Amino acid sequence: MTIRLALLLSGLALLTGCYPSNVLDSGQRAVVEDLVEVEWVAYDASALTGSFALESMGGDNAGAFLELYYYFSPGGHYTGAALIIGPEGPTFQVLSGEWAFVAPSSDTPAAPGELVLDGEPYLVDTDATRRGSRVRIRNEGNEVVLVRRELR
Amino acid sequence: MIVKPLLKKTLIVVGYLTLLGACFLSGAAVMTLRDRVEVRVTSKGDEDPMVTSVKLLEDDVVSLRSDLERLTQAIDSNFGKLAEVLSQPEEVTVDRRLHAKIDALAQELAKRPTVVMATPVASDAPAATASMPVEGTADASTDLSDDLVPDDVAISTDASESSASTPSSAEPEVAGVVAEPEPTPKKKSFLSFSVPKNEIDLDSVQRFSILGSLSRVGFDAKSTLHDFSGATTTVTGDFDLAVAAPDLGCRGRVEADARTIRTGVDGRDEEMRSLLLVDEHPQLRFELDSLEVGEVDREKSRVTGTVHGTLAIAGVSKPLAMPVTITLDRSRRLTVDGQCPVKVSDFGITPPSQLGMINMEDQIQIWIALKARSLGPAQATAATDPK
Repeated sequence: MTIRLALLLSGLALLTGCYPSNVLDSGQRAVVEDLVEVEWVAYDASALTGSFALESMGGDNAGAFLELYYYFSPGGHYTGAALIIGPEGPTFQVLSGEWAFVAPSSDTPAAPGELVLDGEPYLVDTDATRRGSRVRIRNEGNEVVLVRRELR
Repeated sequence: MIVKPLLKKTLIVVGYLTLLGACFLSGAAVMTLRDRVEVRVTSKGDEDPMVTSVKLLEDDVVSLRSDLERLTQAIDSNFGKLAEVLSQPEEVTVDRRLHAKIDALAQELAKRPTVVMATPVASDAPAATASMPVEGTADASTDLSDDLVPDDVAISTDASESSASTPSSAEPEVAGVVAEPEPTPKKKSFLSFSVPKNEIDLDSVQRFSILGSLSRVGFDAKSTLHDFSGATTTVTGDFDLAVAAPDLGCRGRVEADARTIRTGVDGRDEEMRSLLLVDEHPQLRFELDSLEVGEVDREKSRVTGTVHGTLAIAGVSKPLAMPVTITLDRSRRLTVDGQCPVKVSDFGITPPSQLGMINMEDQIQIWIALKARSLGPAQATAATDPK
């Protein structure tokens, strides 16, 4: 009888042992953003033409932008819309203007190109794997990654 | 017989040479005489050249007289139209008034010193408005901004900016002196968008919205044989908070969907949902009442403290105090991490037990890892919030 009880308890212990401890480490509680690791390379103006939406943003201005959309037409005209936090709360700003792409010089082909929006220069490069699928635009510590969106 | 053909050839050559010589002589004669020859065609009856000139002049006078007559008729017609216009008194009066106003404004502009409001501008149109001359006092500038500047233009009320941009009341206006216009501050923009502010204001009450897909709440529990965690990313909520000045007010809520909590074992999840009474109380809810600030590190945008509120589990509400750390991530989102012990029995839940031997401890550790986005000043967003 004692042997049977011991066997039963051992069996139960083995069964419960099938459930391993799965305590989440405190450092892993936060949700990690599913951002794609991107290798950035310089490209030409074709990387920019089309429709884009915000994927991620960093820098001082990141706190102000909630959403961001751009459409760069091949002819050098662009239009954009951004949901920006202002004194009255989130407000859409819509604008349009002229854009141009200045390719890096042949001496430094690996350097990023330059996107000029209404005369204001920004460094711009693109996803090395799928060129033109993402563009990264930088200026004075601010960085925005736009992902290409098909027009619907 | 032989001489006759030779003679014939000689004569032909002589004939050609003669013809060539005649052509040469004719060309030489033409070249020599062409400048000296004048061809004049005259009628049979010779006329005096003076008479011809007088006749030409007479023709010109007749032509001019005709033109003058047509011009006179055109002027008469125009005067008639002008008289018709002048006979419409109302329009003319309004026109005169407008002209008088424009003249008066132009004179006034010329007299006043040019003052540029040092305010951030949101668009070209407000920029033009903001560069208009302003009355000589700060109050007047405020009135002007209230009346003319659209709501979306941020008017700085900072004392130093006001004093720099508008004439002080102690400094009388000097008529006739046109001051150099101050350089308009460059519009703060990024990607051509006007960005009103860079940093989240930690000292004023901001409305924060929890980013559900980037937030997680859960618990750690201990049992006889193994420990486990349960968590969900189905988190919603928003709160108003002055992160570094909680005395200004603090309120809000965080809700987690109890039906979506997972522990990694389906049977255990099912038992947990049963204990949490998810059918009647599907949401675990925390009502935020206050934040007790411990340390504020402005350089690192980091605040530690304790949030106080009420936690509701399975329909039972209990006060809760949770130590938290609040930081800003690189995307300027608020990150709130915290944990505290809770006894499940306080919420009417009996700790589960298997066969009386495998027991879960009564005390669990609940934790939060939230990301929230500032939506701007709480009052402004509350006014536009449909809720």
